[in-house]
Amino acid sequence: MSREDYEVVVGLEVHAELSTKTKIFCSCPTSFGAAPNTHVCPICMAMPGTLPVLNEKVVEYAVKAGLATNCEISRDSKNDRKNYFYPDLPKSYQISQYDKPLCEHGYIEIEDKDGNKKKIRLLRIHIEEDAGKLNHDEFGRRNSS
Amino acid sequence: MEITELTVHELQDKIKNKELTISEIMDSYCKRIKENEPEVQAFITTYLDEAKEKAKNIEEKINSGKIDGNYVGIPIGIKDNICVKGTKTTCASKMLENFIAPYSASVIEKLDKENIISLGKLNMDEFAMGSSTETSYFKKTKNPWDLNRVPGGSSGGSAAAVASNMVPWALGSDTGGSIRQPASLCGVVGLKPTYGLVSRYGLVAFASSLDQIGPITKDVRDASMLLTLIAGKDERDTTSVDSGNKDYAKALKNDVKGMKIGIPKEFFGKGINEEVKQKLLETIEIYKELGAEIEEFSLDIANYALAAYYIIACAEASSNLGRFDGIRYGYRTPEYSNLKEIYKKSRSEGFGAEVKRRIILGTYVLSSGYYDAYYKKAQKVRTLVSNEFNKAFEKYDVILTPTSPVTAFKLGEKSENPMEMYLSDICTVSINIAGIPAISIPCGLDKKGLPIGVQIIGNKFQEEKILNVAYTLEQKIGFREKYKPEFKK
Repeated sequence: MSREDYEVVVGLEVHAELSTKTKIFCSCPTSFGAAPNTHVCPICMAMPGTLPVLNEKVVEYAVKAGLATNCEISRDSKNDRKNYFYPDLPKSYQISQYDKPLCEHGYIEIEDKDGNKKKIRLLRIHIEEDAGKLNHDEFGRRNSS
Repeated sequence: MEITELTVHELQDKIKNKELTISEIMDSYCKRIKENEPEVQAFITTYLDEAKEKAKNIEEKINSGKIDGNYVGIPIGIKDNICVKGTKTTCASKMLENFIAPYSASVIEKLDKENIISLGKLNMDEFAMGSSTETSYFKKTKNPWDLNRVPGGSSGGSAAAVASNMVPWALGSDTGGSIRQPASLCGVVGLKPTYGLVSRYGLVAFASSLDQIGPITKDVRDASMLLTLIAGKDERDTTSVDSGNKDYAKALKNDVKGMKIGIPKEFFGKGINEEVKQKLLETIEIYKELGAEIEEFSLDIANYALAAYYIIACAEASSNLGRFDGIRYGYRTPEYSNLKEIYKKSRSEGFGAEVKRRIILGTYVLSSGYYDAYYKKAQKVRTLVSNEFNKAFEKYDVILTPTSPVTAFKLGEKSENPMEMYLSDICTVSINIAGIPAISIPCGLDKKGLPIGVQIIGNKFQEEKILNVAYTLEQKIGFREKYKPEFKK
């Protein structure tokens, strides 16, 4: 087979950090540069008994992104848990979206070098939390996040 | 009558009439706990000195007119899976033996606002997994009616503490029967509210779609009062619902004339102890005399509901208990050489056998390839169970069943056989599966002198109906006036 027989298929997974004032599931600030253990609360520390409350702004931003990229906006959406063990994942699951993302079946239109219009399809936009960071000190007995 | 034998509404009357002071009440309870706790073993943590101190402070504030309210200074006991800021919340597990909650549950904040004083944290099955309180890492609670027997579970400490007059009332939690079954076995009142009526914020999660906090009390009036205090929308629990700030005590009319009570015949069949069945049939006759319309019908869901329950509850538990990994809080194994070993050893050493069994079951049913066969199918069964109840409530105001198929069993009798233990929940789990409310109240004793409980089930947010139906029976039979726990050795 020559090189011309192959078709290049490119897929991108893009993570966008939203410019919300607070975190996605609690009211801790998202600003950078503060002292350790100041932008945390029982919820994002995954203390036993705590529950997440979804930040409305996150949904608004995701829907706006969906509308800007010609997506269908889901009227019925949910969050899912992705369970795994990792030291920077305090709940041992990430709250993400699996089978019912907020936005689906979108596209953006581009022009190639000859001026032909081409649609780049967008499979889905979903919302999820992402781990902050956990610094373990030298002795491994104390840590801060 | 001893002070500690009084209900909360009786205590309130005596405080109002200046027959009793808050300090007198608190001293009586502290004394009672000192006398009874060595035998009953209902508490994991007590704070008697702090409680006495609080009572004194509150009394001064009342006398100087700084605070008032109907519940000021009333003692309470809290199941040890509900977070109280600055105190140990162990879930009866080695995993959380030294865990001090940095925040209070929403229900605790509500009690604090009324200046209700907690006497301590009550024993339970580890992480609320069990039906006898025997899976507790710390101790085995005894049934006050017979100290050789279990108090039921998982809220066994709460039920035993109320039954033995060590607290006037208590909070428990109910995922598959954990309030109602111990209430039944200990001869007290236990209410599982509609899913969403009471905030779960601060209740350590076992199975999030089934868990509810509820009251365990000496009588139905107290249950309605405690429900009034803890119910309502909480913005920290997005599944909580605005119930319109009802005063549930107003629902107690002592009248069931014309009410339609459905009797599902499957709940009176195989596996139900003959004495329990007979007492229930007598109870149904009493309701007839009181003017209720009784009708038998078919509700063939109990076996399916139990199977679905153990899949859903274990699945959710395996996810919820993942956070106990030895990294941030809780038990960490002393010896480890890498990360995987911290996880493996901390969890192996920190959890007891029943918790591990359910984590393994839950992880299995959620794993890829098995998800559709187990978890998804269980969720479908859940919908069917809900539909069956919906259909029933088109015809009936409430449904009446036994709470537990048997009366209190002996310590150790079922702890070796998980399947037999799981059958303890056969009459209660379908209520959690459907998210509806149910109350258990005592309706008599068996020949051994052990309490038998009747369960009244209502449609979603129909707590007023089931409270009234339970109250009317309670007034008629006067169980509390007739029988007292004997602390049989």
